Amino acid sequence: MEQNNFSERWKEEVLGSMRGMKRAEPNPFLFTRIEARIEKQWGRMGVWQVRLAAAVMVVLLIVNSVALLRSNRTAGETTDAYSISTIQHY
Amino acid sequence: MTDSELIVSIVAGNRSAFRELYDKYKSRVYNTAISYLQSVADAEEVTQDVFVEIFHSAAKFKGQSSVGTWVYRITVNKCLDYLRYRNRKKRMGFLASLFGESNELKVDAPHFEHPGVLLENKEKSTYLFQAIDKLPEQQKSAFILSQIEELPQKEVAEVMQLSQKAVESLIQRAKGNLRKELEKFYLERRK
Repeated sequence: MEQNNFSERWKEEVLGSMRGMKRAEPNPFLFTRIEARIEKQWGRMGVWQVRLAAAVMVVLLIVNSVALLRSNRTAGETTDAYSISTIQHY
Repeated sequence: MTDSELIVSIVAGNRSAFRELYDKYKSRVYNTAISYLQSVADAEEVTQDVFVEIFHSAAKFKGQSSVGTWVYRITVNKCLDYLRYRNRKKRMGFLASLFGESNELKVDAPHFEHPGVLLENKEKSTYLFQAIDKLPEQQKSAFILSQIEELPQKEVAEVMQLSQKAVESLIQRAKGNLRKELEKFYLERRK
């Protein structure tokens, strides 16, 4: 019984051992390291962004070329049809 | 500046606003990380990860929770990720040692002493940290946030994205498991 009381009291003390603790402070140079990591990642992102921009430009160029070719073909067909109908009219 | 204003300024690229946010939350992030990782070096590593993530994802912050809750959520996720990574590394080290490779098996320091604990509680807190280390992830988070970081249960629920009832139950289960673990330590000490 007494043994049990000791054990319970010890467990309570351990569970409460964080009471009144002070907050630990990180290394004063930690912010400088964080900034350096951000800078490094910006550099890496720059290369990635350039690649992405290049890929987007290529896609846009292809889409525009296809659209231009199609519109030229449609315009040609429309002009031919119009000429034939005008000639037939006269 | 308020927290929300700080976030808007960070998105606009204001470095001094980022410094201000860092100064405001560094201690909370670092101490939470210490409780999870039980290593000052690892806690500093994760504190860096947290603030880099804050900087990059500030634009995604929608203000649905407070900035403090958001910062704690990032911290908890980073700590859990780091613990999983460390456990994976430990397992790999163990496998490598079985096959006779020279990679030494790195095991966490068995008796972690939290730098902020009062001198008279140092020894007892080492048992507490050993027991916390054995808790499942969610119980660990609920216990650390509510009992060590002393956040109100409502905020713990917001950080963990659970109901308050679920958090209450996690804390009760965590305390029960810690008592079981501490009982073992108590018996070992008496041998």
